[in-house]
Amino acid sequence: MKKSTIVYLMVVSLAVALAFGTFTAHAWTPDEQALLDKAKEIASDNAGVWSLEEAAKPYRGVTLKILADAATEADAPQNYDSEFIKMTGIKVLWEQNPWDEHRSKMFMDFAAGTGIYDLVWVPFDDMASVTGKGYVQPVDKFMLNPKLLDPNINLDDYSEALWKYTSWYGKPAKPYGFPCENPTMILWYRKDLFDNPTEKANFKKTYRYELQVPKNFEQYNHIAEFFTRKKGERLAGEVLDRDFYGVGQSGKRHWASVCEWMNLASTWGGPTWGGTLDENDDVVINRPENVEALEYWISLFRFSPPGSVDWYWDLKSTAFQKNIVAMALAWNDQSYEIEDPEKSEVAGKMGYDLIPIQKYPVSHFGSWSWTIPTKAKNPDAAWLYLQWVNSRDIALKCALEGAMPSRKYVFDSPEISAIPFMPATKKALDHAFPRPVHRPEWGEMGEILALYLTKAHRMEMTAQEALDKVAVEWQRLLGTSIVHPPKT
Amino acid sequence: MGLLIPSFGQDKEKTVLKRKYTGYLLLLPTLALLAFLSLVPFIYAFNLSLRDLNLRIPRLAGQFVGVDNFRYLMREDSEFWHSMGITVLFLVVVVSIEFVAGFALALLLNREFKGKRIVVSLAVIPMMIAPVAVGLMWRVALNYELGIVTYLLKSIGIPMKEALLGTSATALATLMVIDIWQWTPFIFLIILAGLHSLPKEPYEAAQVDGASKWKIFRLVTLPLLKPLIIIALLLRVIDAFKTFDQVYILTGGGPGNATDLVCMFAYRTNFKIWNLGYGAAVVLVIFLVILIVTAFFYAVTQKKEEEVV
Repeated sequence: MKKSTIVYLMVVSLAVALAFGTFTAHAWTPDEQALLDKAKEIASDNAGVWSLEEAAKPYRGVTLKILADAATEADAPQNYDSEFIKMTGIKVLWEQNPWDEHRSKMFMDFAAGTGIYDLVWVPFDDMASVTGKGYVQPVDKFMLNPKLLDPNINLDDYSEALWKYTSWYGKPAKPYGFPCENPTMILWYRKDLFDNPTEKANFKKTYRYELQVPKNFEQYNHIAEFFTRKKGERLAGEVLDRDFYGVGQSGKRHWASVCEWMNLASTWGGPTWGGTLDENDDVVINRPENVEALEYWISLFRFSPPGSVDWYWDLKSTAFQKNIVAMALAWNDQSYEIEDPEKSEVAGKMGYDLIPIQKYPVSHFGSWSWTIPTKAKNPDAAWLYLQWVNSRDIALKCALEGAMPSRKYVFDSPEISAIPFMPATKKALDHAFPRPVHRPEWGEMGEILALYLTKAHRMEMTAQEALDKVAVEWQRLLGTSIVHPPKT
Repeated sequence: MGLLIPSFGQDKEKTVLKRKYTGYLLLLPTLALLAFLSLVPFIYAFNLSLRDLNLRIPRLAGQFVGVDNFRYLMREDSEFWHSMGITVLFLVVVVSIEFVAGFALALLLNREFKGKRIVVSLAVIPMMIAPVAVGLMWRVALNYELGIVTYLLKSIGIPMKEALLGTSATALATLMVIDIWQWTPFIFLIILAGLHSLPKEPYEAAQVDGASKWKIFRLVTLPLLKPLIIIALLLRVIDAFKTFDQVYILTGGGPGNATDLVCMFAYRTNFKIWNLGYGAAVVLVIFLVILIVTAFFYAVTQKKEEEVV
């Protein structure tokens, strides 16, 4: 092969790798692939001879208890549980709590080893902890049990990176369940304002280019500035009866600000673990690109409602519903609330797209995994429910009721594709990156980052000082190195 | 008979002994329960505080580390001391204002007038609301864009450039105002009850001696109310030190760590970071501080009683 051809192939390979971001970087290892192949083989053998009714016979009369997040993803399956109960005779009881309470209850139950719950939803932030502590059990033994494996499990249907980051943990990694709630961040913008001829003309006059969906963060800043108006000024021909803002940001000392800012850190300096750690888990949180990204994020608060310094994600969607904000980086699963005409003044007026790109295409995603606790009293029955609730048919029904899809089959269905924000979601997943959830210390790391992000945007310290402080505290926790020595 | 006398004496002795121990025996179940409920968790927490236990981090599985957690807390954890500092500031400000305002309100309403019962009932409503509900109510009211408080402040000409909970200075002050709004009625109610129960004779004697109203207040009312004042202050100081619900709901300790009162700090350490060993050390130090405060107030009360005797 000619030298020039080799160089050409290398350049093409590099370009493809960059273009596909984190998704191509996490192929199955040979052991993982062997497990999946074996499960597929069993599924194939079971085709036509396995039935849920038959498999569930030994567990008839059992009651499964599920601990889940108070989310649409957990509301939706409950509408179809009666089908499962009718087929199997296994009863299902759900308990749902808001995020913080859910995590408290989950950890306390795991630590006490009560065995009350047969299935628990675990945020991927806690998966390294609960698997490392042995609170939940791997599901490979169920996947390889011919008596319990549904031939229609369709394991190829799961996006590899999503499933891996969410549910595969340990060394060597084993599956602990399936994704159950997996929001990703996209760009929300007011399409009606962006399409308004007067606004377009005014924008062009000021910035000398067309008003369009921002492709980079310079444009994002221009648009945020442009749409920030005072009460009494005009917006799309109407006189404003209250102040209007170009952008909505989450500034509360909360994970909402951490997740939002991580998009900027990742597009500025690369998305490995959200721009926090490198491949060796050395700390890069205070790298120059992150400092720049933090300074930029802080500067955007000029165009965000004054109250947004105290916002977490819910108040951001409320601001859209109340028609006071033009753009935001937001979680896709909250888009349903924005598109609900009974709750939102802007339903039908929204546009959705990818997060602008500074250098790298990115989208920060969060995820939850179904798990079966080690102390669960009915693990086999729990597995049967887990398979059933994640089957293509039920997953599609749930997605149509507002649950975020995990399966490609559901994403590709015409009904889901027709939902306004789903095309952007699907594209965003191509560049999705997680936070450093592989580290059990991440819970404390996230709290530290949230503290110093708010200190920086409250001008109590500079961006450099804040991130240096985070780096030092993370190093103490992780025991790894700081790649960029603190400057302050 | 001669035989009966000692026998009678023994019976009497037995009866006395029986009476003496019956009381203890009857108290024993309650005492045992109380000891179990207070001592067992304390011993458990103390044991935990000597260990490195984190429910999230597999390698921190409860190894014995001696007093390392206390050493780090005392010498290196600047966040804890910051929390302790603002907690002391918070309690000094709120308890002082609540005391003065509650006392003044009680003096003002310590007379008969039409509708007194309604006024008193309305005045104590804030303290009857659960702190969580108070937090949620104020969260809505303080919303910068949509809340009634911002609207009212703007409408009377106060420039509101930022959300009240959005800046370090105003966030803590706002929490103080909410606490004062909720707990001034508590002081008011105790003092009012005290004023109602005061004997009339000292007042009549003072009036006969021609004492002014101020002198009567200073030399009669205040000394007579002193035990009640001490109890009211003790309860408020302990309660203010333990303030958590409003902080959790309204600010989460932010912005930055401006409102990170010590119980919020303890909550985060224990139930967000799940560092239970270190968290137990934090909780024990909080307990110790409250114990010292209680002992101080108790000593003051005892001194007063000795003076009276």
